[in-house]
Amino acid sequence: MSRRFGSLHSAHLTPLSNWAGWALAGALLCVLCGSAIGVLAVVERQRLAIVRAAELSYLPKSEYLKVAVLGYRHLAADLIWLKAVQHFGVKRQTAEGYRWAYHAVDVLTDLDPTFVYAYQMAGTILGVWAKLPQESVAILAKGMGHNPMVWQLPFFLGYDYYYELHDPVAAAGYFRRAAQLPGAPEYLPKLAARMTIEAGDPEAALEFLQRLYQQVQDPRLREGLERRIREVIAERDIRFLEEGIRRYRARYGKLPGSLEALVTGGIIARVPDDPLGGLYQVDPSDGTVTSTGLRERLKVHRH
Amino acid sequence: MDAIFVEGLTKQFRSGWPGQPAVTALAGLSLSVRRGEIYGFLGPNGAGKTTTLKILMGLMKASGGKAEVLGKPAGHVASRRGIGFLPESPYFYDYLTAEEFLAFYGHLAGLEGAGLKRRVEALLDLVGLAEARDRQLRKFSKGMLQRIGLAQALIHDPELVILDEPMSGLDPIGRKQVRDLILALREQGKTVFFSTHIIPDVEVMCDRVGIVVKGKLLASGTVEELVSRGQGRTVEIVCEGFKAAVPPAITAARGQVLPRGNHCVVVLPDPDRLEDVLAGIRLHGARLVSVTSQRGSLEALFFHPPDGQQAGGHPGERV
Amino acid sequence: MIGLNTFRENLRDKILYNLLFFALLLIGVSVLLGMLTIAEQDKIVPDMGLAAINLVGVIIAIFVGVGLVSKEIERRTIYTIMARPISRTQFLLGKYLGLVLTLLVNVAIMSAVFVATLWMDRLPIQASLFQAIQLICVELLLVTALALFFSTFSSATLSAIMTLGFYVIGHVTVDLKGIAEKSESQALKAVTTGLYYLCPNLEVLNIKGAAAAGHMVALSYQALASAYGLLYAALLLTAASLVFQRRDF
Repeated sequence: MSRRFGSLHSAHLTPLSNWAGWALAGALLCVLCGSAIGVLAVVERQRLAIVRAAELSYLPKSEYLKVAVLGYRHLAADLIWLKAVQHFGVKRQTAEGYRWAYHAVDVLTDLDPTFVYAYQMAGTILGVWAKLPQESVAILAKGMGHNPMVWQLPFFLGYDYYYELHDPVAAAGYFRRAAQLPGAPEYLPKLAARMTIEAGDPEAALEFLQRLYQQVQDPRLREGLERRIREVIAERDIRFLEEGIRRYRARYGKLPGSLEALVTGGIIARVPDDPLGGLYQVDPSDGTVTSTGLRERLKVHRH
Repeated sequence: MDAIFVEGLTKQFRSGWPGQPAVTALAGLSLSVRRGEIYGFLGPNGAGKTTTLKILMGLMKASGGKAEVLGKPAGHVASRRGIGFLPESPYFYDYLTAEEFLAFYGHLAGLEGAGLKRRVEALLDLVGLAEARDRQLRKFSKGMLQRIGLAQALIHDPELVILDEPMSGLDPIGRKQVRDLILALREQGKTVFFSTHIIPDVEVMCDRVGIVVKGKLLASGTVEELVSRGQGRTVEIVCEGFKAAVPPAITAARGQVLPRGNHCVVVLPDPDRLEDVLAGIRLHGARLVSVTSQRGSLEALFFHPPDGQQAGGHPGERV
Repeated sequence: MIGLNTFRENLRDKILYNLLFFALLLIGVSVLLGMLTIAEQDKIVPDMGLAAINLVGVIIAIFVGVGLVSKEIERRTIYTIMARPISRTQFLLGKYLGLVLTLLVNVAIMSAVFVATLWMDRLPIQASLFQAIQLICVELLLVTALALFFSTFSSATLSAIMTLGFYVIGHVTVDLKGIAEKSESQALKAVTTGLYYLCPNLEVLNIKGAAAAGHMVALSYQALASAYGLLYAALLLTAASLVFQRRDF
C-alpha cells in the first residue's frame, strides 16, 4: 500500500511501479481473504457438533421470543424450523438431540401455532423413530389443540397411544376423532373400530400399519414402521403357534416337546419363519412361545 | 410603499439548555428599502445580517418588532411570489440537472408549460450555463452553483430579489459576473437587497447602504452621504524622524501610527484636529513629508462608526 | 410537485435499488429454502415473501423518512424551497407523499416479484396475500408519518432511533399489556395500558401469518384496521405540521 501511495507523489516513478503497487495490494487482499476463510473453517471445526446441536436448547422461552421478533413471527418460526429439520434429518440422532429438536418445535409452534407440518413431522419422528412417545404425544396434542380440523394429528396420536404407550382405549378415542374430520381416509372408521373393539387383534393392527406405511414417505419412518410390522407379524405367529399347542394338548393330552411336533402331529402345516430373523421356540414346561428376535411381546396384544 | 420595511426587529435564540442565557442576534433593527434600488446590507460576520434575511423570508420568526415585505408581513406565503431569494453559500438538490432544477423551482413558483420552458432557457442563457444544462448540480463548481442559484431566484421574474452574501467565496471572475447580473437587475427596475461583509462590493453597486453591527442598524444612506458625513474622511500624514514616544496630540485625536521604515504614517479619522496634530508633530522634532486628505471610504466608517462603537469582528475580506 | 421531486430524489438515490435487490435476493433464497424442506415450500415461500416486502418497506420508510425534512434543513436546501409561495404544511405533505409514492412503487414491484415466485413454484396465489400486502402498505404509511414527525424536531439519527423504538413498541404493546396484566403492580398496569392506547398498535396491521396460510380476514376487519392506521398517520402528520410551523431554520 505504501508503495502505491508513494507513486502518487513521485512523478519520476515509472508506470511499472504503479502496476507493482496494484499487484501488491491485490496479493494482500487475496492473502487476507484466504486466511479469513481458513480461520473460519478451523473455528467451525473446533465448535463441537454437540455445541452446535445444543444451540437449539438455548432458544429463549417463546413468550419472550414472540415479543422480540416483532411482527415477523412466522418468519422466525420458519427459520427455527429450518434448524430443527436439520436435527431431525440426522440419521442417528442422540436422544438428547431429539429433545433439543423437540424444544425447538415447541418454541416455533408457539410463534406459529398453525404450523401443522412441524407438529406432524416432529410427532411422527419422535414417536415412530426416536422412541420418545411422551414428547411425541405432547407436540401432537398441542397441535391438535390449535388445529382441531387436521385429521393427521389425532391419527398419529392414536398411533402413539396404541403402539408406543399401549393404551388402546385412549387410542380408540383419537382414532374416532380423526375418522370424523374432513379428509380422513375412508378405511379409517372401520379399521379404528376393529382395532379398538378387539384390542388384541393383530390382523387389524397389521392392516393399520400397512396403510400407514403407504402414507409416509420419510425413509426413517418407513424403517420404523417396517420393524413394527414385523413385530406384529411375529405376535400373530406366536398366537397362531400357541393356539396350535392348545389343540395339540387337547388331542394328545401333553405339551409338545418342540414346535416341529405340531407339524408331525398334524396340527399345523409348517412353522412360520420369524420375520425378525430369529427362531420361534416353545417352553416345554408351560407351552408358551417366544421369538428370539422379539425382545418383548407387544403388551397391547395381551389379554 | 417601501419594498422592505423593518422596525424595531428583535431576535433572541434560546440556548438548548435551561438556565443558559439567550443569545441576542437582533436588538431593535430598523431599516427600509425603497422600490427599484439596490440596497447593500453591510456588516461584519455575526452582526445579524443572515438572521434579518431569514426573518424577511419567513424562515425564522422574529421575537419582536415589525417586518414587512412588499406590504405584507414577512412570511406571508402568497407574497413570496414576488420575491426571489438566494441564501448564503446555497445548497441545492445536487441530483438534479441544471435544467430540471430551474424547472422545479419554476413549478414551485407557479409557472407552467411553455412559459416555464421559455424562462428556463432565458435564465440559463442569462447566467451563462446553457451548455451545462444537462449536467447534475453535484458536478458544478462553486461559481456555477452561485450563478444557477441566482437563476432560481429570478425564475419567476420577482420584483424584489434578496441575496445573502452573493459574492462570498467566488474568484474575481465569478465576482464580476454576479456583480454584472445584479446591476442588470436595476436596469430592469427590480429591487435588490443584498447582504455582504465586503466593502468594495457595496461601494461599486449600491444606491443605498445600511451598516449593521451587533443587531442594530448603525447608519444608512447613499454611499456619498455616509462618506461625506465627515466620519468617513481621513487625513494621512507622512513624517520622518520621530524621536521617541508618540506625541500626545495624536493620541488625543485618535490617530493611528503606522511605521514604514524610517518614515511614519499617521492616519487621522477626524480632519478637524489636523492643526493640533501637525503642531504636536513639529513640537516633537519630526519632519513633515506630506499631508493628504483621503477621499472618504466606507471602510473607515466600518472601523470608526459615528458613535464610537467599534464594528468589531473581522475586517472585511478583500480581494 | 415537492412530492414528485422527492420521488425523483429517491429514484436517483441508489439505496432504493439496493434494497430492492435485497428483496429479490430474499425471495430467491426463500425458494431455495422451500426446496430444502420437502412439502413445506407452500408455507415458507409466502411467509418469507410477505416478511421481505414488509421489512424492506419499513427500512425504507424509516431511513428515508427521517431524512425527508432533517436532510433538507442540514443541507440548507430548504431555504430556497421555503422562499417559494408554498406553506410549510404543503412542504411537509409534499415530502410525505413523495416517499409514500416511492414506497408504493417499491411494494408494487416486490409484490409482482413475489407473485411471480409463487406462480413459478406452482403455489396458490391467494386473495389473502393481497389483503396482507394492503395492510403492509397502511403500516408503511404510518411508519413514514412517524419518521416524518420525529424529523421535524430532531436530527436524522435521533429520529431514526425514535422511529425504530416506536416501531418496536408498536409491535409489542399487546404482549406488554398481557404480561403486565399478570403482574400485581398497579403502576405497571397503568403504564402499559397508557402505552397501549398512546403508541400505534402495529400488530393490528399484521396479518401476514394468516394470509400466508390462505386465511382471509373479514373485509370489515380489513377496513377498520386500515382506518385505524390512516387515522393515526393523519394524527402524526397534523402534529408534525404544527411543530414544523414553529420551527426556525
